Order: sequence, then structure tokens, then C-alpha cells
Amino acid sequence: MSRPADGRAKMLGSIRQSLKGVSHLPSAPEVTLPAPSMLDGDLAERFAKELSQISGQFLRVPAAEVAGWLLGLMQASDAHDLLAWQATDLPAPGVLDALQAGGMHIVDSDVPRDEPGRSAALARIEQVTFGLTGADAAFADTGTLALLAGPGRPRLASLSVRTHVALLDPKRLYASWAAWLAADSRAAAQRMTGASNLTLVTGPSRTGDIEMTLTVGVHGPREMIVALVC
Amino acid sequence: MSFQTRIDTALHNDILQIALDRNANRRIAGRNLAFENLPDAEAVRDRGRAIRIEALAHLDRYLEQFADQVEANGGQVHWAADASEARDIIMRLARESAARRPDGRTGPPIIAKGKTMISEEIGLNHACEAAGIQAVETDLGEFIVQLRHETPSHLITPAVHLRREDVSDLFNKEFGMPPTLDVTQMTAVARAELRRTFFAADLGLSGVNFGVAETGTITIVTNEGNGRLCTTVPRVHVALMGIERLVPTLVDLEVMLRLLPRSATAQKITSYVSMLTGPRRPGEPDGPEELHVVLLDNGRSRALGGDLAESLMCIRCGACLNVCPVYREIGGHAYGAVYGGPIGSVVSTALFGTEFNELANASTLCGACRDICPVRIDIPTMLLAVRGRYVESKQPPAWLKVGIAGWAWAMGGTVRYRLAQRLAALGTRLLGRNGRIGALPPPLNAWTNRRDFPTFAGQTFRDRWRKRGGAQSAGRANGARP
Repeated sequence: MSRPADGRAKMLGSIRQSLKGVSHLPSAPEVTLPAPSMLDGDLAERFAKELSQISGQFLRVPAAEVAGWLLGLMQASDAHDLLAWQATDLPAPGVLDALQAGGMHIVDSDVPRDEPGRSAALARIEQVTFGLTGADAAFADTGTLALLAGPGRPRLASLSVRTHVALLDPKRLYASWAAWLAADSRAAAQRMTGASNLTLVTGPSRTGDIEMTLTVGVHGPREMIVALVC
Repeated sequence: MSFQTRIDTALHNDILQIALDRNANRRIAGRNLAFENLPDAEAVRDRGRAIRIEALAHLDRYLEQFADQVEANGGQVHWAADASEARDIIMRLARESAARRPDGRTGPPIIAKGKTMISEEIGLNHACEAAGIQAVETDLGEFIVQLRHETPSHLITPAVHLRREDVSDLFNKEFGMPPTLDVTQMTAVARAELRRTFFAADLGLSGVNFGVAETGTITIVTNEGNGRLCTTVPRVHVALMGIERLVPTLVDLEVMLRLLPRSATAQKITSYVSMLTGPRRPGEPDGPEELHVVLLDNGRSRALGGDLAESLMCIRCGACLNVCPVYREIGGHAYGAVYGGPIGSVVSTALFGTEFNELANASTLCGACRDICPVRIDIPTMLLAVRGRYVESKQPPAWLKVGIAGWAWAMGGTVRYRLAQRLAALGTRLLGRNGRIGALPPPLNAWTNRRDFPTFAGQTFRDRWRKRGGAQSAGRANGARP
């Protein structure tokens, strides 16, 4: 096998060779898209409507009641362990302390980089059924959350669990993904290269692979709940 | 098996016929509704087309930028000229990762695979099997298809050719699931089986829907969450990407993602859009330790300079399959190619060469594919180009050339043309009954094997024209009637 540097030069050379001659590519249409719309009406209402259409749940919870509501939710589903983002990335101060005081156990989500320890930690994390995250942005026109990876922000908290609860700060609501990007496109690129992962989450995990029958919770969460903290 | 035989088989498969009808009707209605509700839909399609053309017209520049960015983010880039190089890279990475397991675990290296058509293109599963590497499909449809030792029959819905009864039988045989028609129950069985795979895998393999040159981000669009698990849990993530899959910027990516889910599954956006930029960073609690991007050429750089270059704009949404009157009857397997349907008939020839030229004949050239394509790829014109190649090559049967030569001769002069008309009228009327011919002698039976051929009229148009008084009477007929 050739060395990587050769492979790169060869492939780029072949592309340049093809681009040198008469182009068989069509000419590009000249079009400028209108600036992202601000949407009519209340962003939160639109977000709620979109999310409910795809089997997600939405509710407004006053900041002081978030912990109590979460405790009730976990007790109702007989969950004692949870995966969670760190307290500073949640828009409800003191919520993790309150959950712990209420008897809930926040599972260490830090996966060791290598063996020994890596597999065991993953096996432990896989058992957890409840995940709690914040959100970096929410898009009203599709009912979507943007979750950025980072220290204290496990990706698995919104993925390997049965129930994913996201606490949303109303200030993070945008009309659309385009609107979030337009708000500061340089910040968007920096955000992207500064973390390993930006995931857009829209409702629970779903599949239509068997006879196009919609089924939720195939690999990811079965329940996806967004709580707007007001 | 010849293309004709595969088509026959598909047409006589009643289960397939029902499944195809169900799929196509629902998908197209859903797609149309999704675009009706998309603000400025036609402008967005034009913009998407412009983005794809821009990326391809400067592919060298964007590919370099992308590769440099991936490396700057801590990822590793591999340049695979063809399928065999790509397979070797992936299998080597799987072995290396398996070698780093703790002492207790032995057994073959395990690859958890997200849904990727491009891994079908390089024949990865087959190669892994031969090399003693366990490659497990984790997309529900792909998982089902793999357990049945089949290949996907649709770009987006790989198991579209199966009914729930088939899946029930399969899971009963493989996992001892009690027979059921409850899809939720079948899905739960798959979830439990595949969870083990995700957490035991040495390597997670994904495809790439779009690579963003500006940031070196790879984007994966999924609904089930298997794509996220494959790219988050295993120690090593390998993304296999066709080099044409680039967009210049994040803003461009957002435009493309207004088009892809709506065209593919009639969704405004999929459950998950994973944008992956490098491996796990310092301080992050989870994510893969290594990220490898395998850039696959496999005919693409050559195709870029040819008359089928426009086919590289394809974003693999599958809408042209759903709308194609031929695909809707014969399904994906009949094409005998990794990429089937209208765009597949072009892409297969563009990337893999002349053996797929014949597929372009399986088209009515109705243009529905071009109309529905989110980036307006002119598929019919390219199908015609492929047909041209087919005729120029030695592939068509000899009688076709003789027939065309005879037709050209007959059309070459007035006397010859009249003679041919009279012969055709006489001949077909001798063979026909009640204006229809049920069976023609070979090679013309290629037509009558499947449908009747009408007899020619007893009088030619020229005869009738003359009898009605020629140009004078035509002038009267065309003018104002008394």
C-alpha cells in the first residue's frame, strides 16, 4: 500500500486533471435565500407544537419547581440513577443537589480513556435509564434542541437512556437553525471546532424500517421531554 | 442472473409488489407535503443545487481544506483510491483496536456499523467475514437484511421488500422471539441484541452525509440513534466518506439539511443530526478516542471529468427511486447494483464502468426523477448518454444493430420509406387478429412476450392525405369552419 502522502497527492491530482478540461458540470443557479424569518407568534408555542407532532413532550416549569418535578418524574418511573450535565450547564440552579438530597444518584459519566476501566465504566453507564441535560439552543420551527459536547456534558445522557429530559433556558430559543447560525456565523464555526460533537435532537429515537410503521425508542431514548424553565 | 431474469423474478414476487406500492405511495405524498410546508422551497432547491455544484467545481480545494481541518481537530485522514484500499484500512483499524482490549476478552474484532451505503459499495461485510472480523449492521433495516444474508433494496429503507411477518419469522429463528405482528415488540428485541454490540464493539463505522470543508465536520443524519451510538461508544470511530460529499460551509450544511430529510423521509428534520468534529477532546467525559476519516475515490475523481459528472451531486435521498415507475415495479434488487433506481443507473456506470450500462434501459424517460430531485439533477439526459454508450459498445444483441441499420436504410429515401410502410402494414395484418399481434417471431418476440403489438393501419397517412385532397383540403380544415 502506498504512503498516505502519496495517496493524497494522487487523489488530488486526479481531481485536478478532471477539473482541467471542459466542465460537464451544469452552471450554478444564482439565488440568494431570504434572511431567516423571525416566525409569527410565540417561539415557545411553536416549539411545543412541533415537538408534540413528533412524539416529544413539552412543558413549562418555574425554576423553583424544577427539582421537585424531576424527583416526581424519576420516582414515577422507579429510577434512582441518572446521567446528567454538570450543574453550571443547567438553567436551574441547585437542581442536582436537590435531586441528590432526594435520594437520587448521579452516576459518574466520565469514561476512562483506556483499559482497564473503560469497558466497566461503559457497562455501568449503559444501565442508567434517566438522562438530564441543558441545551445550547432550541429551534422553534422544527422542535429541535442543539446539544454541544464539552467538559461535564456527557453525550450519552441524551442517548443511551430511556428518558431524556432537557432543561431549556427561554433565552436559548431561536426561530430556526438558520437563525442561530445567522446570529453569529463566526461563533458557529468556533463552537463547532471547539467540541467533538454538536448534536441536533428532535424528539425521541424512531424508526420506520418495518413496513414503515413508526416505532419510538429503537436505540436511543423512548421519551424525550423538554422543560422550559421560566 | 441477467437483468431480464432479475426483473422477471421481481415482477412475479407478490409480496415485493405489495411492499413497493405501499412504500412509494406514502413516501411521495409525504415528500410533497413536506415541500409544500417549506418556506421558499424552490429557492432552497436552487440554492442546494448551487452549493453542490460549487463543491464539485472546486473539489480539490474543498477536499484539501476539509482534510486539513479534520487533522487540525485531532482526526486522522486516510486516502483510499479504491474499494480494496478502503477495506484494508478499516479492517486494519479494527484489528488494532481489538488488540487494545483488556486481557479478559478474546474473540474476533467487532465493528458496529451505522447505516452506510458506501460500505456496501466497497463490499466491506463480505471482506470482514472472510477475514474473521465481525461486522454488525445496527440500523434496524440493515440488521434485518444482514440476518437474512441479503443486501439493501432501497437507499433509505433497506428492508422495504419485507413484511412484518418476514421479520417476525426471522427474529423467531435467530433470537427465539415468540411470533408476533407487533412491530414495537420486534423493535425491542433488536434494541436489546444491538445494545450488546455497541458496547462490545472495537470500532464504530459510519458513513457521512455531508462533510463541511470550513470546519472539518462530518455530519450524520439518523432517526434511530444507532449512528450516534456507533460514533460515541466504541474507542475508535471510522467515518467512510465518498470524496464528493462536501459542502463548503456550515451555512451551506443547514441549507442541505432542509432538503435531505424532507426528500428522504418526509421529515422536517431527522431525530438526530450528529455533527462530529474530531475525537473526544480533553475534559469531555465520553466520545471516541480516535477519529479516522477514510476518503474514498473509487472512480469519483475520474467521473468528475466525464459527461456523467452531474450524478456526483446526488445526496442519496432516494426520492427518485420512490417516484420512478420502473423502480416501483421491480424494486432495488433487480438492478443488481449497490445503487439502484434512476440515479443508481447513472452512478453505477459513472463509478464502476460499462457493465452497468444496461440499467439505463430500465427507464421510461418520463422525467419524474428530475422533477423530484431536491438538487434537480438531470437524470434523464444522463440516462440517454448511458444508453448511447450501451449501443456504441458491443453489449447490445446483434439483431438490435441489424434492426437499427435496416430502419436507417428505410428512412433514407422516399421510395424506400413507402415500401417499408406497405410491407409493415401487410406483414402485421397477416400476423394480427382484431388489430393486435400476440406473438412475433424472434427477435421481435422480446416485445410480444410481455404485451401485444398493434397492427399497422391498412392505409398509410400519405394515402389518406392524398384521398382527402391533400394540401387544399388541409387548408380548409385548418381554417374557419363554415
